[in-house]
Amino acid sequence: MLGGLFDAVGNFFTKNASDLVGAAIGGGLSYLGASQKADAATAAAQAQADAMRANAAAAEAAAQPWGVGSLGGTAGFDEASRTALLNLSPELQDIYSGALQRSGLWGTQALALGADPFESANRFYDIQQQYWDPKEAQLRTDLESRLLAQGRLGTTGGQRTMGELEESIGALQQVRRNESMSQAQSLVNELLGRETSDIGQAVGLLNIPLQQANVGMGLGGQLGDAAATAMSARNAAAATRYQPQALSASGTALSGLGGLFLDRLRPEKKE
Amino acid sequence: MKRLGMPTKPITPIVLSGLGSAGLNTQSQDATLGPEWLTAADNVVFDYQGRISSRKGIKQVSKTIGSSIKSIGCYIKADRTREYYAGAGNAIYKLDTTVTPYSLTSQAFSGTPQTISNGNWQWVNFNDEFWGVQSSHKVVNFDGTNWYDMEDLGTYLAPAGITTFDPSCALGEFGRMWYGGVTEAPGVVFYSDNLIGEALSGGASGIVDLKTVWGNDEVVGLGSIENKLIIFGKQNIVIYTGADDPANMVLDEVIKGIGLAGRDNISYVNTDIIFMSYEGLRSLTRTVQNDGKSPIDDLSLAIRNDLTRLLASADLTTVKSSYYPEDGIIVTFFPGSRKCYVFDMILFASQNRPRITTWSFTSAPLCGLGTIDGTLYLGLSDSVAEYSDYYDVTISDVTGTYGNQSVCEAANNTWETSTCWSYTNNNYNYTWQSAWLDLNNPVIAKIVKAGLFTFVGGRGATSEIFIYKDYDSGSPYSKSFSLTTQGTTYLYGKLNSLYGAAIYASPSTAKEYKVPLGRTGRVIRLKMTTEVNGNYSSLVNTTLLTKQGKIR
Repeated sequence: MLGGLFDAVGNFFTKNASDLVGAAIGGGLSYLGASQKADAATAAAQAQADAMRANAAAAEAAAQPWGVGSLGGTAGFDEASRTALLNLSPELQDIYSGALQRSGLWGTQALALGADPFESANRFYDIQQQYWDPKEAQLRTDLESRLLAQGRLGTTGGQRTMGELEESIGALQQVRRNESMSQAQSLVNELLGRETSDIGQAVGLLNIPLQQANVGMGLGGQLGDAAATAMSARNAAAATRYQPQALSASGTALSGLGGLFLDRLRPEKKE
Repeated sequence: MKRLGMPTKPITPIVLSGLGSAGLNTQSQDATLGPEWLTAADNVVFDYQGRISSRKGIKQVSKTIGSSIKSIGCYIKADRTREYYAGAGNAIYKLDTTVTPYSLTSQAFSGTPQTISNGNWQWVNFNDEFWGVQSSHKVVNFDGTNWYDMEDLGTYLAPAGITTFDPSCALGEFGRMWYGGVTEAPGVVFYSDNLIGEALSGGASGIVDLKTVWGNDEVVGLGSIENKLIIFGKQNIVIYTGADDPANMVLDEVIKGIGLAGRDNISYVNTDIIFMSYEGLRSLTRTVQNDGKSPIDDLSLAIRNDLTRLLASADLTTVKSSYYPEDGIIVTFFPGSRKCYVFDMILFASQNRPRITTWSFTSAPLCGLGTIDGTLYLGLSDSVAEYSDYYDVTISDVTGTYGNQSVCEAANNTWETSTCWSYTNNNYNYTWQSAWLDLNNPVIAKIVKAGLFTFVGGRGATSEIFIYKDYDSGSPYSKSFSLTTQGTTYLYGKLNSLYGAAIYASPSTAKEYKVPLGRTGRVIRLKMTTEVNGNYSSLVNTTLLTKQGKIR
């Protein structure tokens, strides 16, 4: 670099006698001065950055989550793999598994019923009808016996009376059929409710390690905040510390010296 | 020289009080019957005083047609006038009484009528219309103007499940028509909609299937009493109560083992239903007080076996009974046997049994119809007759001999438009026969010296008395005598009698005829055959003059 400077100066002298020499000197000095100032600033910034990096690392380390354990389970963090490790306690795991299993059972049942609600209603109706069948048969037999005794079994009036009984039976059957539909729907709803409840329960259990993780994370976070604050102060201190180092006295001097040469080369002002 | 010795035994009069007054009895052992029973009573009736008398004549009153009159019905029109219709052969005839002799006018049918093949109709009045049913035929309907097959009526509604509706019996009661004896459903009673006898489906119409009531019996006849429907089968009688509401009527009674022998053998007498069962005439007797039920009465027990034998062999579609209100008799026609059984119901209410006699004919009536105006129409093999006067009368066309009115009437014939009709009076006999009479002493022989027979009327008719002895049915001793020609013989009025249609008793007193009889026996039987020659006669009293004979 200095060789170049001298080359410039030489060139200057060569070209323009004394002006050139002066300009060359002035320029060279200015250059040297500026170069020294830049070096100083760079060094200072590097030092500040290092300090802040260290602070950041410290703050980051301070903010890492905590491993948390409880009766409900554990929440740990593998910093290296940046993995959260959440575990339920064995007891809760059993409950969790049971809830999921039950929910599957309810779901299966609800699916079977809900896939064809009319068939489900019929199944309900058929099950109940087994109870009513003998009673209805008895009603028919009673009426037939009465009509037979009255000599009306084969009469239009008797048939009408029999028809009225059948209508009555049919109406009651229809009521029960409608009720069966409602019952089927209710059961489906109940099964779905149970499934949802069990799933909710199982999922809810997962909140326990999560909450622990949150606790751990909260602890880390709080510490991290404190560390961040402290590190921020350290950063400020580092900045303050290295700011003066960013100023180069020799560079400033050289730059001033170089200016002297250069000012002389400037044309005078005509007043 | 008069022989001296044992004193002459006195002649003892034995009054046969109430001889024959109980009517015919062929069922009991005739040696044990009292004098009130008869063992033969042919062409006999009991007059208003209960005396043995002759039946009236069978008087042809209509012109002849080519077919037998098998049914006669009275159509009571909406204006309450009455018309008479007869079923014969392939047509229905109106009895036109405005001409003499009456005309039988064939009736034309509207619509697309069936081919009628028999005249065995049962006639029913219902809702101002006249209905006829018979086996294997569609129902016919007459509204006073037009005859239709019921199926041709615009409002006809066929019963469900029946292809051919051909009921053999019907009833128009309780605001609807009832039908039975349909070939396709012989055990079912069909009833129509209210007041629409031809509407047999929908509305208030319906059926009564009796299969669950009487099994496989079949409907033979229908009757009604009080608010009850009586359904007669061959071997059962079913009574439904509440018949005004057939949809809710209920079985009141099933009478098993007793049925109706022939559709046309139901008679309404007093407040009872009299019907012919296979074992004889019976009374339903269901109108007793306090809603109780007395046993069905056998009204023909005295001739039970005779009747059952006839009923077992007869074509029951030809056996018909008619009630003749004026004389209070039910006449049951057995045309196949040329015989009628006559049940005198006058004393039925008090004695609970009719007095029974028989009628016989050379040309037997096939059916009858008693009217409230005192006529008993009889269906003959080619014409209609009335039960009146005391000749059997036939009518013949003698226009060929008496070709104009003057010669016709001069010969005492009847001229009608262009025809001369001759009325031929035929005498007939009535016969009664007593049981074996021991005259209150079965051990001692009686020498019947004479009989005192008190008669009213007769007017010269010949009467012959037969006397049998000691159970010997052959070789009777007989004696003829003639009834007096004196006196007015018509007790209850004859148009050409001295006092016209008088209703007063005859001024002629009864006359006693003493007939010498010479028979001796322990038991005797009397038989008398009396000619009927246009006049009424009745046996008032019988007395035998006897002497005591040997003790055997």
